Amino acid sequence: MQGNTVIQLENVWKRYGLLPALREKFSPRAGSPESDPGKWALRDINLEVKRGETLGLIGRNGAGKSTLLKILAGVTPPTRGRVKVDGTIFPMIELNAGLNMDLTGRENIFLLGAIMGLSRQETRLLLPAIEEFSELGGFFHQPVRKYSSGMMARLGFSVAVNVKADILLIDEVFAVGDVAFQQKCFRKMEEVIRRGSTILFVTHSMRNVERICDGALLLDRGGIAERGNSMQIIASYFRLSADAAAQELLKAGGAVPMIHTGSGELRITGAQILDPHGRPAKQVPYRQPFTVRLSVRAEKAVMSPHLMVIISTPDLINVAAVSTGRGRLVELPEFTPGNWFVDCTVDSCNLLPGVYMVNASFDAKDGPKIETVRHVKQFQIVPEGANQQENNMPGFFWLNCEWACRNRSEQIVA
Amino acid sequence: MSDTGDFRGEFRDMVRSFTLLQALLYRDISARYKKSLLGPAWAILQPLVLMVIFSMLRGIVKIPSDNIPYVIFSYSALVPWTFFSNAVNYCGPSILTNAAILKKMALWREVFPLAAVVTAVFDFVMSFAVLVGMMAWFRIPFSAHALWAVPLLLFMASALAFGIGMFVAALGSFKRDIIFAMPFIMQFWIFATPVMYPLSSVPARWRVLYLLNPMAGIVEGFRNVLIKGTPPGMGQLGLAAAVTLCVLALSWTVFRLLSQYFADVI
Repeated sequence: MQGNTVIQLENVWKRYGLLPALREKFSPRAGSPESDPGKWALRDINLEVKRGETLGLIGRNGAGKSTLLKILAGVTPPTRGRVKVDGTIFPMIELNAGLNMDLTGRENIFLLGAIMGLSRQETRLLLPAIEEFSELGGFFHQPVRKYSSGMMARLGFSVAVNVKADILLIDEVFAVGDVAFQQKCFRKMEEVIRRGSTILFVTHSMRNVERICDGALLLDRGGIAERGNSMQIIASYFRLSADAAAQELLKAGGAVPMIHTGSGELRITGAQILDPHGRPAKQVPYRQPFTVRLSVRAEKAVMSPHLMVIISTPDLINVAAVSTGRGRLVELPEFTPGNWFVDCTVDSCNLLPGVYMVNASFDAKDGPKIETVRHVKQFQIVPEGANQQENNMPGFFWLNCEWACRNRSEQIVA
Repeated sequence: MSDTGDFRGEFRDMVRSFTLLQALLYRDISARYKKSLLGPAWAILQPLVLMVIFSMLRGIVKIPSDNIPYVIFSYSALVPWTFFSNAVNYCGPSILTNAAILKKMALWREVFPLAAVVTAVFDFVMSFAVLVGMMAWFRIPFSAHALWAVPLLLFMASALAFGIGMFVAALGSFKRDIIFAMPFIMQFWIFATPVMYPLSSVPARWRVLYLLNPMAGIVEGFRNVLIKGTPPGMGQLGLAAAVTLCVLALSWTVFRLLSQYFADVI
């Protein structure tokens, strides 16, 4: 291996189960992988990771992310190919594996420590730090059986963050505890990253990838679909998910399973994204105007309802909203029974490239909810022009700002 | 899993396995006693109950006992036998019950059956203490030979149990049948071992074949050194050791081969 490479995978294939493995062992390459494409968890993975790199592994369920980590952790052998790892490796996977319900928190820490490779002496030294980090208080000396699920998760995490290793494999372990604890975990992880550990990070939270990874790897059906910088791979991932959703839709005969809530005098039956020429579009160039057209069916006459259109990310984070009524200048007219269009034209959109969803709701003038629909329409803001920097910014918005810079002893020049 | 298997790495893995072994023992033993009313008494109860059953049986069927009070004759053999059978029985599901750990970390996987055997040693110590009490009651002198023979025989029984246990654990992780079958096999095995009857009641021409069962030599040796004060027969022990080594070699190979795939199937 070359000097800086700490992980190297060459043509790694993985198929679960004993019989395929034994067959492969005793008569290698009997039956080509192409002849039975469905059974491979990983196919022909070639990967190099450099020391100190933080690599996000993303992909849909069953793409092979966890299998890849298990092979690196040495829990399961690859069916074919070579795996080389330089340095100590620690999988932060299922942190509570081995937890015993009848032992106390303290006793379990020694058990988890032993499982994670700490000696008794090391665990004893770390004990105060672990106890403090876990915020268990009086429960520390109680049997784990009495813990809430959040407390249990904190226990495992508190031990794991104190294990030192050259390479960390992290599999979706941040969804523990409340927001304050999650932030603490993140700070701790950033500390680990600063120590120079190499990190492979599996998650479905694109915001976490954006936040801590230098680069990302997109896995699809066992193979590497793409590797590159985080923003680019996240965009590819959303595109992949959108394609998959579209295919599901085709299979279901094109019927959109929309979920409506509210009293239902008005029904939002669909939405379209239109370009400035009024043509339907799936993609909107970055910083270009576009129109959201809602198709509305009025069952009864409704007088000037309030409409709100919310733009969210596919992982349900609301990023922007526009609305009518309630003291705003715009008021919708009376909807008489029949079919209507409502156009909402956005003429200056600073949303950064990415995949977004349209959600919409109608409220009656005096308050009650008439109609709420989530995920009426998915669209993508695509990079446009040569401004790579803007295209690869983290976050959701481009903010216009002015910069000034001066030496503290001088006056502002410009 | 690293390609460069250096000595320091090996050593670290050994220390790590030892720490894990300790932790597993602590978990298994303390959790067992916290969760049961009789706790440690169970370790003694098992051979005692069998002793009572055997004694009652002897009231109906004539069983020789080399002119030793039958109570202590049978109990002194039940102590090593119960240890062996417990050790094997704890080993069987040891991989399955620790599945969560195995699926997470690359470890020296033999540590799980090994911890099962060592847990059984704790039971042995307690039932052995009762045996010593019974010997005092029957005024049987404690032979100096016991000082080396008892540890040796315990070690041999452990090695055999570890061998059988690894085999059962490895196969049982893929298909459970062998784990379900083990209680029956152990029931059969106890009758093929001089526990309720002395070795001397086995016809001489069958003796060698009979002694291919390593537990025969171990149990007989254990009883003789404690009750009669005679050292175990070296021929018997040699044969038992040879068979045990064969069992270990075979089952360890099977375990090594299959253990890589445990995480795939459990």
